Amino acid sequence: MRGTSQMIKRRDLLMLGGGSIAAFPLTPIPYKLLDDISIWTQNWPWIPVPKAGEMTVRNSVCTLCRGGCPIQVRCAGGWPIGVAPKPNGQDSASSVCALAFGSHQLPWHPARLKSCLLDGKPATAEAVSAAVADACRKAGENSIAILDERPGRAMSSLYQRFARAVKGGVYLTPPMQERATLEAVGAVCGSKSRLGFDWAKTATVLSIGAPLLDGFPGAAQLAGRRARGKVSLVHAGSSYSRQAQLAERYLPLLPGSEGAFAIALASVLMEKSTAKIDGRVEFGSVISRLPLEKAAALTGLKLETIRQLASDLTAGAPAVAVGGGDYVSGPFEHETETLIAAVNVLLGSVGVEGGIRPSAGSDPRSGSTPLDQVPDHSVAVLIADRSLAGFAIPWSLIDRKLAKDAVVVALSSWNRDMASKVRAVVATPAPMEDWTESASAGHAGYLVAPAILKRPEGTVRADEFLALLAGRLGASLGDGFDLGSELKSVAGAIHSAKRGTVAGKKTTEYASAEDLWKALAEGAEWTDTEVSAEILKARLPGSTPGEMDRLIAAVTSHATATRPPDYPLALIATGWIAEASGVLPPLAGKLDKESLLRRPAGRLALHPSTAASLGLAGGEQVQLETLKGERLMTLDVDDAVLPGSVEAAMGAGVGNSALDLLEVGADGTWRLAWARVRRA
Amino acid sequence: MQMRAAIFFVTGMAVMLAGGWVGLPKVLYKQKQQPLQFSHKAHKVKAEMDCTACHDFREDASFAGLPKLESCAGCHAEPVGSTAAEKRLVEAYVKPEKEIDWLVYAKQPINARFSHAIHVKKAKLKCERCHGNHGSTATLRPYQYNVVSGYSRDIWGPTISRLGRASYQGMKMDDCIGCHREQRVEAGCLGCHR
Repeated sequence: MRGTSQMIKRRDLLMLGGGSIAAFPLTPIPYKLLDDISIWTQNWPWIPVPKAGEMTVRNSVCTLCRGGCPIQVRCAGGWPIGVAPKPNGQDSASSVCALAFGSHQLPWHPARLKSCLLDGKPATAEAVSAAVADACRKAGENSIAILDERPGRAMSSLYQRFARAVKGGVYLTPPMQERATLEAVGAVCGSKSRLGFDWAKTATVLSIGAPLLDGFPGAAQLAGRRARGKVSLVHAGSSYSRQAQLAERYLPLLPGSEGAFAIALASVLMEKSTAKIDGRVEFGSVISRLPLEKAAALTGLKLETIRQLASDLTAGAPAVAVGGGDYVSGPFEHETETLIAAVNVLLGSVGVEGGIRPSAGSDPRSGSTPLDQVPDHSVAVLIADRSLAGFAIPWSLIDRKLAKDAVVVALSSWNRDMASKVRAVVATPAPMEDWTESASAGHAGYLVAPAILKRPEGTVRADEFLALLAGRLGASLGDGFDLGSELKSVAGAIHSAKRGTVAGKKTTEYASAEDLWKALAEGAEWTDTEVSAEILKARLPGSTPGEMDRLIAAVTSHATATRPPDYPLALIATGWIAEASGVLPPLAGKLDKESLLRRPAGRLALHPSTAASLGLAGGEQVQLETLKGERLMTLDVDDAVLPGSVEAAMGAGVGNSALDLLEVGADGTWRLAWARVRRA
Repeated sequence: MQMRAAIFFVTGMAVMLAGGWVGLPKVLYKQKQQPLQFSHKAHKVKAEMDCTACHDFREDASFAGLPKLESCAGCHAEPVGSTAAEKRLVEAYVKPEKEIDWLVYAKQPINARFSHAIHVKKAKLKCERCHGNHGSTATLRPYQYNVVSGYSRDIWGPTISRLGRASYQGMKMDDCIGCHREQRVEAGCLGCHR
């Protein structure tokens, strides 16, 4: 019996093991091994390792959005290892966002394409061009279109040459939201010049839904002046966006009420001003049809708030109002922009220093066809340049332009975004692997980011692909159809125009176009400071027959009365400009996903009161539903969201994007949808 | 019966604790000898050289790190003294012009960058603040490395608990942050990481 008791029993072993397990967390084993293993994973052989070598700094520009922030790329042994703002970059901010900070990581993004794709499988550029040429030959009366999201570049000129050279070729541009207010002012005032905001001297800016500091052209310059206290920002919008957070004042507008806000503000400015302006009587009759109190009620703002804003803008002259809409919610209706133009006229900002001035440059979109004006079902082959994405474009806007069995080719560095919806993807060089331009439609300037890295073997530049395609189609593109030659042509054009400055020197001080090109190639910015000789005559809208009805209708078009039964919430799509390209630099993605500084794809937000009324709590899986479809998302409860609305993220990449739930209207806008949210 | 169970339970705990605190470091760290012995003390005391005589800064203020063979060859073209290490230096390295593959105790991961110039020239930190008395030792201690991460033991520090360590014992990110907090110097993520 005694012998048996001294034998090791199963229970003893269990107690021994239990004791070991209990003591395990008290040892350094789990913590130390976790630390060591995490370091070990940093050294896996397939992870790219920056070269060791001489440290150099290259001047460049961030091209991930249209802000065009001057940057310095720090290189070790010729490899980019870090990005920093370029100090004293003329009037720029000397600061950059998380996108730019991680931009040197993009060539190694997991979604990076290093060879073309045809029908989802790796293919050579020759094979893709053969397939596309075959589709072009079958196009018949339908068009072969090339969509350029960043017009005004040297590459844009090559696109136009290609479109002119091939039978049925059309050069398309998407809505240019950053130019919407300027074009509306031009239309109202009958200007033929290219108009521009005089950011260098503006004292007060009212952004109406426009992400001025967050991806708009001129963002760097405006941010720099704001940092030095030279400009004051007021943001009016339906989302507490990054722009709203950066502004001195945020005025929350009920979703879709931007037009009502503009008319209410215009009414107050009309009351305050006795200036003689052409069209004052007619415009007065427009706004009298919508009483000020009613217009203010449509916006959700108190009338006193609008009166105070009008006083502040008047006192803070020169002041400008900027519309355009943000990069996810899309452009405003034409009538809303007309009303914002009227606000600018009443602020006295048209044709004056610090306001909206005619520039000597030409319209970067000249020769293009706006995407929304292309007849539906008329495009047989669409070549979409997604290498430098612009504002978001819902797939439904593109889809309805496509003919039956149309072939869509994306020019992109990433296997994301449209990649799942297109026949072929031409793998283009990533940022820092080739010349990348920062010309934008809304900013009178030009910057070129130089190639710092050697591009991978399988990548093909857009002009190289088009040359291949034109060769197969027997189309002649003429001499010098390559980006390098075209960039030098741009430098030559700048030099011969004798306008503006490059790297602080007048262009006339450069002895030759070659010298000017050398400066541009080293990251210097051309700033076109010249204004046109045209005298911009301020006038107000409302005198054209039927215009009054359209303006008033626009103001009330998104009123609650249009809401379908059972869809109580106004859906606002939110996002970050670079997300339109499908990828974010890993650093920015980390901020996005881990800190929720930006709402990532698959997440929506409700005001606490709205969530409570629906019996929902933060973190729940919910279905977001509109008349167009539904998406499974994770709910955040956020008191920055307006009650009665739901904010949902566009997100980078394909799938679970709120953008697909928005209906594109006949006028090519997709600002708002009515939605409901329920527990999944 | 309960006493028996408790004994086994406590024994299990003791074995695990011993394994963790005593056994783990023995399993985790291996050691290698440096390719050549070197006396910092001899160079400092007899030759009256200071650290920057060999570990110098380039013209652009970046740190040159370990001296190249040509620096050594300047004085050691022929044996200076009669030690075995001296003979080996000349015969195995200087004459065949072969660089010495020193094992670097303070080598950091590639994603971290550290400016000696800023810390030494601007912040006026002494070498000893991070490297202890390494500059006064008569021999080079064996290089101990972590078999999982591959990095030197000096990065973690001599004790597995990291408790009570001196300023020069440990070069983890926590150590950098601790000193920066102490000195109230903000560096940010990208100040040290690339």
